[in-house]
Amino acid sequence: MKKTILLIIIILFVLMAMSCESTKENTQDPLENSWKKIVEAGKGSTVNLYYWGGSTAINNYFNDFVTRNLKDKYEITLNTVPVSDIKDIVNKILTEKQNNQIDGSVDLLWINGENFKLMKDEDLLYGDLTSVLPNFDQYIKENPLDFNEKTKGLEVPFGKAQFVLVYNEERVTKEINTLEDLSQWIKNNPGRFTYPSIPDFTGSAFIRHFYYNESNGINQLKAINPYLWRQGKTYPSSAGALDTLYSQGEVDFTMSYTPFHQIQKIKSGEFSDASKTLILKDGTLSNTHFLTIPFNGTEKSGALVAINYLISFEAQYEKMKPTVWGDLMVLKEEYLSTEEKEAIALLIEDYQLDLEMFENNRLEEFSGDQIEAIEKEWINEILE
Amino acid sequence: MKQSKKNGLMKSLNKKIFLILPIIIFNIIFFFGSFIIGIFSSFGNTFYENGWFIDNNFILLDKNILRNIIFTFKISSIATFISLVLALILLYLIFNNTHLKVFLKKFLYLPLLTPYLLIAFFMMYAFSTSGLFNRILFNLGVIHDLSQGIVFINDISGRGIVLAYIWKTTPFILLVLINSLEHFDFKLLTIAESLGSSKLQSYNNILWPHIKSSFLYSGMIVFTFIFSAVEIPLILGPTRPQMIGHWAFQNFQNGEIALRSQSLAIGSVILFLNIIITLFIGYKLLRQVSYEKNN
Repeated sequence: MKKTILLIIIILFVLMAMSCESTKENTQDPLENSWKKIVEAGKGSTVNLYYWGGSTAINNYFNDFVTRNLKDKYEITLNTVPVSDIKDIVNKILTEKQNNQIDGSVDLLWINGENFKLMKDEDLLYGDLTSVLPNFDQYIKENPLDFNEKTKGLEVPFGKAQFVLVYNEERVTKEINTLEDLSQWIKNNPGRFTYPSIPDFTGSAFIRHFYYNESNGINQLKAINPYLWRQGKTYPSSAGALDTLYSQGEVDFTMSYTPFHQIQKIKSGEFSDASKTLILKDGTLSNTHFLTIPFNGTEKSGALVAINYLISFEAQYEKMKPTVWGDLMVLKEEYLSTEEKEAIALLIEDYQLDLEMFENNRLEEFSGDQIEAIEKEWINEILE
Repeated sequence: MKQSKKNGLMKSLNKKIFLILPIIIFNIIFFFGSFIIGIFSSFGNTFYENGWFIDNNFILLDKNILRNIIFTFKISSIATFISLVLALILLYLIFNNTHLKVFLKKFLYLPLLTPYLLIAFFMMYAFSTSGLFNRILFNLGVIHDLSQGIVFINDISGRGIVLAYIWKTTPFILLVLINSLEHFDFKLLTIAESLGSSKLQSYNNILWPHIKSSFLYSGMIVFTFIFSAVEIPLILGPTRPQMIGHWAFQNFQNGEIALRSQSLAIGSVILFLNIIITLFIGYKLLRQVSYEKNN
């Protein structure tokens, strides 16, 4: 009896081990081909896109608009795989590398910041993608930094996000221009402001603003702490929880790393019409997010074509609509044609966007190491 | 004689094992496999750090982790204790009132069928600063400002978590107790009383030995369950201190990849506690079964 069970278990393990081994040879490197050949090779391929799937708007953009157009224009089937944390996928690719797995399951992924740094350091990325993409050559031309890390074309800029504060116009009547003003307002209105606790991404970004010009940012944070919601003894666990507090009227401010957050939330009926977007005159943090191909992707040509489409004007324009996603463009304005500029002007008018306000008050992000140090200090000095 | 009876029992057990073989294989590969990988990774590997140490201190002795563990013990003990006492009181009421018995036996399944997440969100909307409860107090004029009201959500003493678990686990314990009394002859209590024992004495000496084991086992199950909980503390708990399941989950999801082994180390601690308690209950129950079979 025991032997039978043991035998079955051994057979199953052998089967599992066999399915992991692979001896498939990689064919020619698409990066050395001409663009025409890449597009030809990409036809009929199925590209697995891994991305953070926590937002319905983003899911709809990829599943509907992008999938449809890639199929119609390039005969590429986009298989979207929404995940709760892209770090898990980076981890998976890392494991694949350790097992020398040549044909990975991930063809295309959406990353930035520390995940990119880890992939770059561990040599998990495919190569200089931006050198072959026609749309990069036409609209972007320069590789931007990713959280102060040089990208060297290993990833392609896909969108820009910027930190915004959202406030209730009826409750906040005093004009707030600087972080100093905000601290003063918090002290004058105890219990009406809070921010999500670390490790929440948005809360961490808010805290970083205090470190931008000064080394003793922690002291300023300590100074406002007793005046926060519930005396700063506890914090909302996520940006979503803070949005709920704001919509219930428990606090007068909320915050987001999505530039058009307020427009989207008013439209969905969660925020009152009195909600307004605030960008401090000291500037707010902004980051660029990227698309990349791992070293062992099986459909590299297809993935390159998909990336090129995603940084086309058409795809970027659709992405920028606040009702679709509300993500800022990575295409440089000076390289756009007259018609494209007109289209953007119309969009701005439709939604009453103030793009200049974003453009003029933009701060570069910190590096991953700095962020880690700031988060640790906050946890040690304020939370524990 | 005794030996052959035992062999017979083993033989019938062997046949039954075939029926549950698929689920056993599935468990061995996926559950135990991941347990083993998790435990190994908690000792660190090429890209994880060694999870059992934080700044050269053993993880269970780290000041902040220790505070979280104490908090977890506190919450689980209090919630388990209150649930057990409440279940006993309800049991007493049920057996002294036939109408209540019929009503409660139907009604009890309701909280058992409600998912934990639903209870957590109900608690959030009922007992937050601007929740239903405080709004009622406000409209009745008991409080003049919503912030003066009762807040059970994210509070440092963890009252919200305790309340949510009492709500969910009391009916569970009560159901176990009622089932254990299925074959109990209640005439014994009447006989004892007619022979002059007080009500308390007869409960203590006749009823209690009958339900004692079910009472303790269900208490242990509830305790380990709350001890390793994630979702309720995640929604209702304070930022600090955190229950350790919540801490491990958050650290695993949002922390650095290198530090994931810390979460796995804490996960292993929870796992070992659960295994010890499960083995204990399993051992006791098996002995009870073989005792009943042999007699």
